Amino acid sequence: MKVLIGIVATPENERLFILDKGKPVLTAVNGKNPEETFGNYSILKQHLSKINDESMKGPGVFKFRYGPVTAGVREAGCFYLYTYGEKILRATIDISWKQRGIAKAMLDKSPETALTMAERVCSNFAMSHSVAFSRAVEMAVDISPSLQTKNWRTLLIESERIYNHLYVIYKLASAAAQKVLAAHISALFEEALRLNERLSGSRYLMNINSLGKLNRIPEISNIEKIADKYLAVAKQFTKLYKHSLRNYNYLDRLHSAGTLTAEQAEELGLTGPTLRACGVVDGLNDTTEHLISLPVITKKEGDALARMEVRAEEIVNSCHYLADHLRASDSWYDATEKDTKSPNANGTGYAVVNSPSGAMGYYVEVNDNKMQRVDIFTPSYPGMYAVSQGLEDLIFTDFPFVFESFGVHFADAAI
Amino acid sequence: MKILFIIALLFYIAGAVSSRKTYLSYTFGFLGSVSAFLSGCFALTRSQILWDFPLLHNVSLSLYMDHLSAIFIIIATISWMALALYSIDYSKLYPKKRLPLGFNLSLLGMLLVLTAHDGITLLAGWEVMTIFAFLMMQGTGKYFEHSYRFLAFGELSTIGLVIGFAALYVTAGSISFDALHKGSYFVLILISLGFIIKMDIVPFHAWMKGIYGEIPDNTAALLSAPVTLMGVYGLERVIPLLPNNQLWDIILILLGAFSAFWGGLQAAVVDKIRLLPAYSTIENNGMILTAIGFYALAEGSGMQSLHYLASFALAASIILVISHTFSKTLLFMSIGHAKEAYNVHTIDQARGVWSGVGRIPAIGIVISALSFSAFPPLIGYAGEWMILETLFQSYRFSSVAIAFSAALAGILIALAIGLISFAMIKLIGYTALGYDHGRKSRPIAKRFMHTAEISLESLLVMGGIGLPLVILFIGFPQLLTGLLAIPAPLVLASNQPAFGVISPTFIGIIMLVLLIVPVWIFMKNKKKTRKVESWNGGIKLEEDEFFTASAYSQILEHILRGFYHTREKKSKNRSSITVNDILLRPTEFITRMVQKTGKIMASTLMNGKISAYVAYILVLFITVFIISMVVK
Repeated sequence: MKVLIGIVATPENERLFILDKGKPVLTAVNGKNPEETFGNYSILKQHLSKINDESMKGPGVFKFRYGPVTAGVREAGCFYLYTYGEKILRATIDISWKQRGIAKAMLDKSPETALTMAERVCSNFAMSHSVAFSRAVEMAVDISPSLQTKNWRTLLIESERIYNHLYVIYKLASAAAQKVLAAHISALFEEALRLNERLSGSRYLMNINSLGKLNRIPEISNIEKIADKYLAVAKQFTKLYKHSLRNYNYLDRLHSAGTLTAEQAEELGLTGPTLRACGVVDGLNDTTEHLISLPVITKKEGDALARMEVRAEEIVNSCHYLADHLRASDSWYDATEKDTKSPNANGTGYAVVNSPSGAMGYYVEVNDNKMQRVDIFTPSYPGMYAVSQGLEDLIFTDFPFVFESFGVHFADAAI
Repeated sequence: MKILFIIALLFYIAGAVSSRKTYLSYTFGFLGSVSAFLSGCFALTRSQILWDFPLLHNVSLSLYMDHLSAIFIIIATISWMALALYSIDYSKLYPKKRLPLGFNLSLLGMLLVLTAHDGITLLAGWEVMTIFAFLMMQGTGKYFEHSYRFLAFGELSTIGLVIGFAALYVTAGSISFDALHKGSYFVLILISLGFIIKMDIVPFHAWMKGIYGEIPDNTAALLSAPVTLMGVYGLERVIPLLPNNQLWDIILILLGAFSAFWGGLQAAVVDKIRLLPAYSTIENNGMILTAIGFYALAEGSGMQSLHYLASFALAASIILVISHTFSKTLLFMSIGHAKEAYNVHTIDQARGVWSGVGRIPAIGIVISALSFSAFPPLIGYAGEWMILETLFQSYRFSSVAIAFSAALAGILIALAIGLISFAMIKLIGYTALGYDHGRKSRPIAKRFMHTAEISLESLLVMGGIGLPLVILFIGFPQLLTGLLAIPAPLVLASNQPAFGVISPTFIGIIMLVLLIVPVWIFMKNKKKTRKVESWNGGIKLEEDEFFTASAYSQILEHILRGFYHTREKKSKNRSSITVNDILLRPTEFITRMVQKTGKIMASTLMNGKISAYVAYILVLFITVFIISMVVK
């Protein structure tokens, strides 16, 4: 399937940034009507900071503002919920409060400095941003990282997926008043952060990745123990997950809440767990470089429960994937390749990474070793549209767990 | 006593005659009520026949005042006095003469009802009250079709009473109240139904919805409190005298409880500022009906062990009557004051009475709403505790059916109390103490309004704290006792040996010491406090972002959508939600049928063709002739 990730527009022309069977492609519009092919074209084209901003009128209807700085909305973001008091008739989401102008701030900076900024777009997706940016820059300046670097990046993205998914499920359980489950998942989340630190030296996997290389190669002496720990996380999580699926109080809250159909998800250009929970297989797992891809987990229902199930099964898969590959990682050191080519000072590059919440894309232009242009395409931006649609016709009680189930962040949506 | 009564009647007539000068007319109304109040006070200790006029053999028209009349006259006249004072200022807003004319004559009608000792006098007072209350409804000068529904229900009530007393005459040969013990069950049912209809018990509340938003505030108060009080008085008067029927008693208990539940349910979701207290009337009168039914059941069982419980139930009904009459009069007056000052109709529009209109009407809304929410030590707390305590002693009956019915009624009434508290919090939180949005009220005359409001506010607080005195006043000293450190007679006991006890007096003292004194000290030192604006997400709330009063209720409309028949219409950018009182449907159906029949009759018989009209007269004549021949 083809997914429109973003639009790279200049005053002269417009190019579509597409993920085609796991491969990023940049194609010129050339007189075609992209709106017919891609339902999310106008969303990406307009790139509004107020999502679904159409007022709803009627007797008794008013606008309930939730945010931008309030308990329950953990980032600076604002929801305008049109309601009679309990039922959400329309959800407008204002992401502008988190708009930092990072892409603009990267201009005229060196790629290394810009990489540090990319890592800080959204801490939960730091590794994904870092890898997507570095892959795009590497393409632009024609650097080819070693297999060891490629493999470690793949593993670190999986370790990001594990802790991020654990965090999302912890928030979900918490929002659905499953305090015991939430406490156990929270402990596993902490365990995952500690494993990140043992692997990379950073709990949020920052400062390990660099252009064409890693700043720090994980120590082989600890690898076996870390692999065991990941298996232990998988085992403990599986136990909790199975237990949670027997809790009807929990399931009733997630079942049929925030449901999206496959057509709606594709229309919005969604990727990642949200799309896969609607029964659609995306090609994101094929963005893995060198190592074999993970199997794609899908569910059919498209509701908050299905999204949780996809994430839960991905946690287990990623833990086993990590444990298996960590144990084999000693062989990568022998496979280290020496790249003798010197990098270009100019060029254009783009890349897509399978972040925990979907396709993360970067388009860069480098000129004289300075960033000339940076376009960042994140899964949270279309994800916010999905949140807005998912909240419609629900009641306030459903709000927290429906929002959490999409795993989106204001920091990721508003660059 | 007799002189005072006659003076009261003369004042009311003078008030009606001088209705062109509204100030004078209401002053006469006030003086008449004072006079009636004093006559009631005298009648507390001594019963007296005021008038006895033999009309036919065994049929006399008589007026009589005894202890029960006296209690109800005192309760009613306090409400009338407050309303008359209030209306002096209010009449400057609605100077039409039909309003004071209707006011004075409907008070006269009610006074006749409260002193009537036979069916004809009662019916005369009943009709005067109904017709002139209807006249008051037109006091704003607006014509509206729904007011005729009030008249229709009023006449339905009259029909019940007329047939009931006619049946009494057939069985007992008299229509005096003294002959009621000879009445049949048929008489019991018809006469009680006549009074129940006047109490606005469901489904006889169907006239209210389209009317309460349109009529003047003093009329709304009069219809909701004193006029429904007449129905309660009628029941309290005739039920102990008529033969007892257990099944009918159970029906009264369940009908009252369901009415209370339904009134509470509807009050919780309405957004019209006067419709909320109107539905609260259904709730309150439902509780009163249940208490009367329970009294009749316990007393009619003949069991000595239930005698205390019967007395307790009767006392509960009277305490509820006092609470309802004073609180509802005050609530309508305070709401009316705010509504007129703001010139608005909904709870949302009348926000911030405290800062926008004045402290006195705001306190009036708070105190009356708290009383309806059973907030101690107010008198409403005592009344609602008493009815629940009564019903939860249903196990004392040997019959499972009675115990079950009373327990079911207890559940419904407990729910009703919860729902009405939910509704009243809306009035307190939005109307009385809410944010005024910078809205300013228009200047209206308020000296007499304030006097009336302060009087009832004080009475409601004192009535709760001084509950033992109220219990003594209504004639139930046996219900008072002492317990532990609280001396007699400050404790009200629901049975002997004690089943449950309360002492609002003691609670009042505790609250005074633990709440009011610290608050007073705190207020004295408020220079040390710092005021900040409430946090609303970090940015100022826009006018369209405030949580509305209807939004407050929407959770009920959503969860109880089966009861409310909640319906939603939604298009792309427009949405609306409606809730319905489904018990109005039979009345609406009948109204539609009557209108349809009227149209058909108008087009076929009254169409201006002389031949059709002659044929109509002829058919009627022949029909009457045949019927009379058959009867003969």
